[in-house]
Amino acid sequence: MMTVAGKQEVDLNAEKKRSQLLEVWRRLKKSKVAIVGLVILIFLIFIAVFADLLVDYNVAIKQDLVHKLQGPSAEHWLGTDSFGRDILARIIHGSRISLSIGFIAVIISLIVGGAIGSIAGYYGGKLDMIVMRFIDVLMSIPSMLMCICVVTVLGPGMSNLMVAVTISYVATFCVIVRSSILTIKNSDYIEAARATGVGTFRIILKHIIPNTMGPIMVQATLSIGSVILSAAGLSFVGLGVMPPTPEWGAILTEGKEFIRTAPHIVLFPGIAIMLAVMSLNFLGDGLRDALDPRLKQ
Amino acid sequence: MKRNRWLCLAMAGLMTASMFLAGCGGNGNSTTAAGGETKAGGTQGATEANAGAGTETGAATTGKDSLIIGHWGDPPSLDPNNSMNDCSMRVTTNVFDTLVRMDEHFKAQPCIAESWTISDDGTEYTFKIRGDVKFHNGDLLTVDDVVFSIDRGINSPKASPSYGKVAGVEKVDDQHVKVILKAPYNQAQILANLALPFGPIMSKSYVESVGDEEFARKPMGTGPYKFVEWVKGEKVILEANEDYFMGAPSIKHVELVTIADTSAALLNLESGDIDAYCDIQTSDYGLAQSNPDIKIVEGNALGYEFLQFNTKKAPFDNVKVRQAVAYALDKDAMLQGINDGIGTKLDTVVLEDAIGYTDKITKYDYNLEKAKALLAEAGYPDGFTCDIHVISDLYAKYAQVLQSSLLEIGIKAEIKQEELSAYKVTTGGGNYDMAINGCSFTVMDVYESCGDSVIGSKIGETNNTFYDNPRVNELFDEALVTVDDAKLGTLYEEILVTLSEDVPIVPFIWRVRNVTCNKDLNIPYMDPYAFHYLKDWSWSS
Amino acid sequence: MYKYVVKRILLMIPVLLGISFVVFFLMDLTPGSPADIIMGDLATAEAKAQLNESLGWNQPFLQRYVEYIVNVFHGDFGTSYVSGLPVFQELFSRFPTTFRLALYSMVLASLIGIPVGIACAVKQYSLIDSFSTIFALIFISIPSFWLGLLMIIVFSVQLHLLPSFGSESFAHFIMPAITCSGATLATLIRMTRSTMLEVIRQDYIRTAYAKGATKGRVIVKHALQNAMIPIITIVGVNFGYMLGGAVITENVFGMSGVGNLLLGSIRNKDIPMVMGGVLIIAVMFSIINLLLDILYAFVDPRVKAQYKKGGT
Repeated sequence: MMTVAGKQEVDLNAEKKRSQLLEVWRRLKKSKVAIVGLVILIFLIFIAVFADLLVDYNVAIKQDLVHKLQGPSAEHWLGTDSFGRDILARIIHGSRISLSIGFIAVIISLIVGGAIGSIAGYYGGKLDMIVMRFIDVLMSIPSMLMCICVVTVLGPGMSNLMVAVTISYVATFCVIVRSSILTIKNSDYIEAARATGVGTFRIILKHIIPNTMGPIMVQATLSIGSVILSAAGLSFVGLGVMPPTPEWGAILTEGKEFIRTAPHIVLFPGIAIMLAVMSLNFLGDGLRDALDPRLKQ
Repeated sequence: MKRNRWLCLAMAGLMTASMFLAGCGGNGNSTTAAGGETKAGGTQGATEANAGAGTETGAATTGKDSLIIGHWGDPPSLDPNNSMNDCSMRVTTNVFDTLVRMDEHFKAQPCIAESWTISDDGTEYTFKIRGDVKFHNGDLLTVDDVVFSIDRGINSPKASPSYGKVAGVEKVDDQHVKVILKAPYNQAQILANLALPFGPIMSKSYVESVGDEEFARKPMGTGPYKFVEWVKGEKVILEANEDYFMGAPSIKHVELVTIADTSAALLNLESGDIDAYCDIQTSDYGLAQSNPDIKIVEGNALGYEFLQFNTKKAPFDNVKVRQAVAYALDKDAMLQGINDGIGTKLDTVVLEDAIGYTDKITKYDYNLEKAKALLAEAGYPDGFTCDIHVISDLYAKYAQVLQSSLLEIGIKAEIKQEELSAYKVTTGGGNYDMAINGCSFTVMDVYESCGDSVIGSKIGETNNTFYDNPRVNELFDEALVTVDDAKLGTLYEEILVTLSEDVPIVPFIWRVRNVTCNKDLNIPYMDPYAFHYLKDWSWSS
Repeated sequence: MYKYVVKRILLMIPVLLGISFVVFFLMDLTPGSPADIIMGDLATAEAKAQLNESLGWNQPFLQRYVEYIVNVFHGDFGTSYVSGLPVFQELFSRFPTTFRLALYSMVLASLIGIPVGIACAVKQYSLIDSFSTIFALIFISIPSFWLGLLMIIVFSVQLHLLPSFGSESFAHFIMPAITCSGATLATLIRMTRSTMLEVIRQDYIRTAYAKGATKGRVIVKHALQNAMIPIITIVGVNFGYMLGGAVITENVFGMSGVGNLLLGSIRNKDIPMVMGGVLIIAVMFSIINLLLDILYAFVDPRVKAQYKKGGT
């Protein structure tokens, strides 16, 4: 009896979820902005995945000091940097670095922050109090300063850069997950599940997380964009990836010295960063509207 | 509402325009326009200067007598004993005087001390103090002030470039003061150290009455310029000391302004907002040279850039590997490609006019064939992986050039750019393979220029190459107490030859200092430290 | 109300202690000793040891931390390792620049963002609405340092209109303020739009129209006032963030603000300076949040009523 009821509920849930997803997708499709964002993002991911087929990595790091700081030409479509390296090749291979920093840092902070947030939110009480005070502390330190501190401690480099950015986003996700859990924790269907004897872990995993996914997905999408910006910003103050790694922010920063004689070095990587962040913002924004039907009437 | 819509549109338009303009990248036109503007200003200044007497003794002229100099930072403190920062020193070198001053040939000349004698064992210097030197507040400088200043300097760690070799100071009589050294040292070194603005002569009564903190904000000394105002974060204003005991300076009003970005500094030079800038970056040389109203005054610094090895860590404990890397270091590419040709290509740690310089050293010119052969001989025909540690962006650039050539002989090097503090720990602890670094010192002397990196007894302090050759150590010990130049020459020669064979370090570029300035500014010589004794500067007619 | 304020201020103390510990600990982990960084090549090892000794560097971590906190409670934030001057003095000499930058950026963002947001809400789905939405999304996606550099290229290098560097005159603040206002501007447009949309649909707005009020009057008098809370929050919180120094913008435009000072201090391991800076930023941030809460009461009668009931 019990089991049958449980199974039925799961089936219903799955079906509901599927139709919900379809509904979200249907609404997302209506937003031109979101679709533009999605197309650009897929295009950039495509470039990142197939970078090696598009251009050899050696082209991106091959120095040619005689032909340095050249403007765009037939041979070098986007010109060369201060070492005579092809900027287009660097931007193409840079997409791998920049996008993976964005995605990996957000996924890790989502998992860590989400875990802390859901436990604190679900159990509440003293545990919640202690965790939230600690999160308060983390959030009161300006995130850029926090990143700079962490990179100074760990030393620069791609993985350390990711750790620094991750730390400053853990708090954000923790707060979001916790507050969405608080809002649905006491809702009727959770009560019902608890009454039917479903385990705590199962409740969190099967009922709470899927129902908090909306705002989290939106925040995650938007965060990937801001992580890319933060990473580029850290490169800008000299705490980013190590040369000759072609992270977008690092390519741009190298051109800072030559803005008068060779402004193209600053221009193109900046456009790449902007496109990537923009596509994520477009998509995130569309997702928000699609998930929150209240705003559309 | 309507207006805001337009504002919004205008901003979007602005963005598009900025991208478009930046994309075009042509700056020829605007540079010429700027040149035109500067010319107008410059000519006016020059005409005015024409009307004045403009003699070299620095008599008051009615022409342009003010000077705005830009430099990279704001002084952290103006207490000369408590700020190891060249921006502070550019102020204190002009507000204070030292016992002796270096002239344009880098020879010590009398200043507050009118003469000096050295004891036979070379450890005691007795200075005769001038009796007519007045502080800016009118007080006469006495021997007590000198004793107070040197004592204060000895007890200030940050004044150690001046007094690091000094053990104590004694008043002999009302005219003489005796400086006692920790050991005998080369005379030129000691005098050059005492001439550094880290340890100038201050007024005992002033420092004691205002207190250290106030003194660091309002310095007062005997120098050619009086301190007027320090606008924190922006500038320091100085005014000529008309009663200066070595003659009044010809430029009456000086402002040292902070412009950290050298590209911005060049824009300010072109527009005439500043008259001079200390050390523009080499990538801006071309732009500065193309402007007829701007000139670049250059001179050798006391310092050079070098590659160093951790000689205790495999595979760099093998001299053949070190030689191979030395052959793979493309000095010309670094000089031309990174420095735009500014600086001097280097094969050893001193320039040709230094005592002990010799042609017998092994020179490492870029040669990948030799490098490969040496690697194979050393047992690494396929190369290996290693790291190159650096601190600054510039060193990271040199490192990238080296990284690229090393790749061609099979060595995969990873660049690790660190903060200074981290760098000191990794290199000092021997957790590195190679590092690109630079050094600066107080006199052109083999001991001073490389001793810190190669003397065995300095391992654990400054010697991060861990190079420890008993013969070299012995030669350095002997050189330290050798006063005769010829004998010193032979000792140094042997050191240089040995170092060039053992290659614990590979020096590659001798640094050059510059002041980029209005073409009418006369800068008779280049201060190798870029502290700049402004009394010697003037506006030409 | 009074009780509430006191309680909030007391709650700040454990958070501040936490912040101070985290930052002190992080700074302690950075490699090297202060003397290495302060003194450079020219100093002897002996002199460095002497300096470290005089800075109290040789004591154990916890002792140094406790000593620091005790001093802070006595109002002594210590002196900078680098300049030897009191931390407070250094910070407050930099503060005016940061404050002006924050103020100008927020004024700029509000002057553009709020009216545009209202326009979007009033004419939902019009050309202005979709244009502003896209514009806001693009603007928030631009790396601030890139925008800064592009503006330098155009307005300083090409057109010679604005100074590219420094913080002396008003002209020096124009480009940095535009650079900094970006994110807030975009958020303001979006937020003003969505809150206004919600408010406009309320009954009392319909009532106001029914009573014959003009459209402009309804929007300003009724709708805007009720949509004020989220708008004030955004401006206030961003203002608070900016008082902590806009590290990157200050870096691009070479401004002598708090951000640049702290960046340099972290790299120089100037622990007293970093600690002082971070603590003051955190205090200011908390105070601004508190002020915002109090302000809500004045803007929104509903919130005020809550306080009067004596609740928190």
